[in-house]
Amino acid sequence: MGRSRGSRDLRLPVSPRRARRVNLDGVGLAPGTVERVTDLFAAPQDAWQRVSPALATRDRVVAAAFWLPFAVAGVVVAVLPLPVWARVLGGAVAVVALVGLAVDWSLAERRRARRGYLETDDEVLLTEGVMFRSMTVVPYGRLQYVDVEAGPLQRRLGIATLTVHTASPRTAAELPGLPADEAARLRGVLTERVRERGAGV
Amino acid sequence: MSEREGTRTHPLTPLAEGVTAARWLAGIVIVGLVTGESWVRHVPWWAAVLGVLGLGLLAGGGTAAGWWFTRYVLDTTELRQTSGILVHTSRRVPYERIQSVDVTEPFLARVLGLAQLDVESAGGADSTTSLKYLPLHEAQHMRAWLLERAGGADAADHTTPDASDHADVPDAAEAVPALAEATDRIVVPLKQLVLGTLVRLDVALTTFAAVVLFAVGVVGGILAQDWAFVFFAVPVVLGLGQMLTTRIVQNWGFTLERRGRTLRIERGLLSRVSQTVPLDRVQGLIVAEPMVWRRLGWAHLEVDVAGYGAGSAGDDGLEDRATLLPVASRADALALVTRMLGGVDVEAVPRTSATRKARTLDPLQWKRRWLGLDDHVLVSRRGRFRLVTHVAPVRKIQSAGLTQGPLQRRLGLATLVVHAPPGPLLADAENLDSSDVRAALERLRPLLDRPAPVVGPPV
Repeated sequence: MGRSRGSRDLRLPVSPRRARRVNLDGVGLAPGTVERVTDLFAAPQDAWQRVSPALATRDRVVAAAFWLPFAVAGVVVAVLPLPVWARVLGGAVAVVALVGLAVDWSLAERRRARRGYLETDDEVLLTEGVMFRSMTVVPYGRLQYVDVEAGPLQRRLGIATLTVHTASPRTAAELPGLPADEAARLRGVLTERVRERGAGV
Repeated sequence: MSEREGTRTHPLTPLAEGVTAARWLAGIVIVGLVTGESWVRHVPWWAAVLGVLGLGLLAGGGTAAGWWFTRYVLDTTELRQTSGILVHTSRRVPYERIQSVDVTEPFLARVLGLAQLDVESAGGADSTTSLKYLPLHEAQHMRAWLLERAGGADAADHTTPDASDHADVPDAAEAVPALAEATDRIVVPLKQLVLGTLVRLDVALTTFAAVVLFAVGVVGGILAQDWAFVFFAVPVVLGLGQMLTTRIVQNWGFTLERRGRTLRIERGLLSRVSQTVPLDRVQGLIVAEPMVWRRLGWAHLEVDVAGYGAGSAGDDGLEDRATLLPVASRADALALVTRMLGGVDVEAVPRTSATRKARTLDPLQWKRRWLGLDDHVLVSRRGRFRLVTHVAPVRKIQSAGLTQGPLQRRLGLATLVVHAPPGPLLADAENLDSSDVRAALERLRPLLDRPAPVVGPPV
């Protein structure tokens, strides 16, 4: 129930001076909202729903599939009797590839843990990112359509990716790593909302 | 399969289009004659003339065939256009998807009394359906007819597409008759247009470059007795002249009129353009104040409508339909924005500014950056040399969010991101304090899901 928070999350102390300067209140913001939301990416109510750990597995497999060929090629080139510069280059490529793989491997779980979604009465919220964090709010009234996709690897792991579309192509609201039945449920719910609230430009 | 139903456009269409093609060819030949290119000398004059005529006929033949196979139908629910000689293309535009309808008269068509009807629907580069060419009266009549059905007519029409079924129809009925009489007319005086076009930083820099090149050429000519260098300056000067002339000629007699719920823009000297934008289709407004204009108190106003902007192409350089006011006094521009938004004063909206903390990441713009938000609009101002203010009506915002990069996290900053339908509007507010951004997002959330109300009555 308690959210696992990394120690790196920023706590924002809201000094009285800062609260005074936030002059967006008085027109509908509940008093104390800013003070209550001490973490920039905190869920506005309840807690973020998390995605399946299988997402980390998928990301690791994808990273391996990307970096390993370079590592292998680099090692092969470094080992064969080729001119020195080629072998050094091969070695460098292999090192870079292995470092990249190590980074991706270790970040996969952190990235998965940072992903979250939340359904409220009026909108669906998504959050993601470790280095470059984001939080997106998509109101039901603006939904155009909802996609669920699962490639062969995702299907093996029992997860799927849900994508929410609005009239703006910048709403890149993608939610990978949902357990397959949860993805189907969410799509059903959202499609129902689209029908209810309608969306026009 | 779809049969070829419908009517063709005016029979003089191939003539107007073919002449345009031949004009370019003739232009090449004439330029060759004037500058004394060698190929012109080797070709006898009658061959050149025949060549131009022949190519013109070919081009005309091609456009005639294209015209023959292009038809359109105005149905009860949609406009259909079929075209293509070999590959049969059919396009359908449902009326409620129409964003705006423009009547343009490219110079040659104007001479023949014809006009082109451009129906804009939301989409990318190919979103314009053009009917070329129709008699001018017919085009104007058809425009009024289409706009009525698109839900953007000045007459009372409650079925604006983004009013959901929950909208208060009684309110709309009360509000709209009062709007029908309200009109606004702004004409851009020629003097202001010319001055505004000349007094721009890019113009000044290009002029400077041309003068320098010319001076270098003259000095080189005197010293080396070789005047070839002077000719390097000629294309730059010509280019500059063309750029200025195009801007002035395209915006000649710029008249902006607001009749109730539609905007009418008329401009152009040789080619006339008459754009009509229903107010409900306005996704955003951009007020730009280039550095030199700020001293004169002038501003430039652009409108963001689905289908306009970089993607929409036009003939004879009639692009840039997004311009609402090419040059106007700042007060006029802001007053117009206020009226279009139904009485909201963009400068009086409660705002939060960037703080000193942003200085490291944003040294040039932080002082002038602020975000304003109230029940109706979101305003984002930024810029250093060219001050821009992006105004997004809240009901057009599709989704919103906040982002924070690692550097921003160290400094306690974040960016508010606002997603609107595709267009030049970019109402993001970058590098504000994190708590301000989060507060703004919390303030914005309940406003986004409201069923879109009818735009308030103008003040």
